[in-house]
Amino acid sequence: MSEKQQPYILQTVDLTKSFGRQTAVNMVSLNILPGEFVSIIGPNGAGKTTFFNLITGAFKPDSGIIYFKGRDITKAKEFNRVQMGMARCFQITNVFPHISVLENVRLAVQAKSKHKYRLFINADKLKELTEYAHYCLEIVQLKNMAYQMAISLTHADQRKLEIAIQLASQGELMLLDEPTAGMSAEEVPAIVEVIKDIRKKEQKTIVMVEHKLNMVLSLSDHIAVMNYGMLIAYGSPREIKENQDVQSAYLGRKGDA
Amino acid sequence: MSINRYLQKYRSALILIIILILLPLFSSEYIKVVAMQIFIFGVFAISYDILLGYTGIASFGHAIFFGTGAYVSALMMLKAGFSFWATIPFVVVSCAGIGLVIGLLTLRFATIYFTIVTLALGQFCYFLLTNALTYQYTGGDDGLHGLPMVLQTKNQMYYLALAFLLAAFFIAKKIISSPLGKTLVAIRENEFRAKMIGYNVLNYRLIALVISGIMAGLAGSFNAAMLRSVFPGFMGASTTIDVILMTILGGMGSLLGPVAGAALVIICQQYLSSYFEWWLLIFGVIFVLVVLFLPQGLISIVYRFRKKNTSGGLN
Repeated sequence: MSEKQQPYILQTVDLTKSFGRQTAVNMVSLNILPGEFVSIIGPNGAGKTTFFNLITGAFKPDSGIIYFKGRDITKAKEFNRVQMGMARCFQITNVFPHISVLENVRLAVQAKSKHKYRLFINADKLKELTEYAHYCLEIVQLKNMAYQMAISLTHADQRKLEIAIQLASQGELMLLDEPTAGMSAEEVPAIVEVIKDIRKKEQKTIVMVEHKLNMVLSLSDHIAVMNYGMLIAYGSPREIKENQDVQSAYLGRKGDA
Repeated sequence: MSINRYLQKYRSALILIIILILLPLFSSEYIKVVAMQIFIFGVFAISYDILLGYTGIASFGHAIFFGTGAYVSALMMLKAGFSFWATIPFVVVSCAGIGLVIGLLTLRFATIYFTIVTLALGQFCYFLLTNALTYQYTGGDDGLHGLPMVLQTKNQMYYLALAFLLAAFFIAKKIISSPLGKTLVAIRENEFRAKMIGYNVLNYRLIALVISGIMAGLAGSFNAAMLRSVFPGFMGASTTIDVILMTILGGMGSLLGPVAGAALVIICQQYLSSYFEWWLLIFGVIFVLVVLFLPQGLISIVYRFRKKNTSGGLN
């Protein structure tokens, strides 16, 4: 693996991925500094989720390079990327349905611990894992539901559980794929609070795909705009608001937001 | 936990164990043999439950391990003069090796592929035993007979089989409550998510297959020691189907359920078959009734009484 000296935590160089004749992600180069909050916006089908899938390793790019913490991870397996410090939540809720909420989170803590292959010790007796899981649930305001089955939670609470699982992975880089997908308007502020709280308490770099523009504008340090697989703009929330290309591609079409 | 609370919590288990310990004192030879079969197939079913119930891998070739264990023990005892106990390490190593090879070949693919390949491998192993080329070693369809006795009396054998079941159950219980065991359940629940929180899913599946294979192999070699014979059927598809029935009827993902399932299947095989010519038909009806009215298996009757949910159980 080639070592590169650079300050970026995540860097993509000309990342490209096609499905048949459709180029979902087209020559996307993005540099993200540690501690930054970067949002990716764009119309449906712009390639945002595919871009995420390339970063996490669910898909392999046709060309281009991905550096994470200065290391080329283009060919690294998904679980290795997580072990290196990447954590992801999903657009479609993706939890362990028939396991308790606490165990969902505990499993993520355990994955990063030295105990993960141990055979003859009771997992519930590893206090430090359970305590950290409780801490993550507290941050996302699910403390009272720790012993329910994950499947019994409301959709909004499952979204919070997603974030708790991600926190429990203790990755420096959090990838949030539409954390408020499918939520009603009343439920959104709670998630925004949770994300703000995470930024305050933990030094995380966050990359978020989101459609709710108010939320994106208020949370982000930088916004990247994608359209037809290409990165068409990158800048601060103010710059993005004023950008002509963005307005015609995305912001002008109010119905999408 | 104080001894009193311990006794209270495990009261029904202790009563059951005491009954099983006293059973040989007032039962016929026949009942003892049936009970031993249940104990040994109970271990076999527990091993399958680790795979199907906890890890969510459906193997149609689990008898490969059972047959390997039985034949390794039998061949070493008959042809090389080993004692039964001396064959055990070889059973463990060979079953672990077979588990590793099968796992490395197939586990990285979708589960249905694994299921079909294990079915094919099981048939392959069965033909390996019944082949004319291997006849002089394996005895072909006749199997191998006249294995030396492991223990002097039937009662001693009975207690050995009971101890084997209790040990296997205890170890399996330990494994499923360990970090590794909990990860297996996570993989069953959502393989993709398990990967995305940083687990090497392939490694865990391999470990599950190896552990399950070793346990099944040991059950096979105890079965050989008890019957003092081995048959190619041990390796055959019908043995695999038996263990699948035991696990599903008893209740997957509960360890105890598959043992109850083993008891039901073996009792049906032994008793129904001696009273009714069409016993398989009756057994089929029982199977359908259990699946319809107790979809979580026989063990769910116990849970209904206790009104307690198991963390590992499928819902």
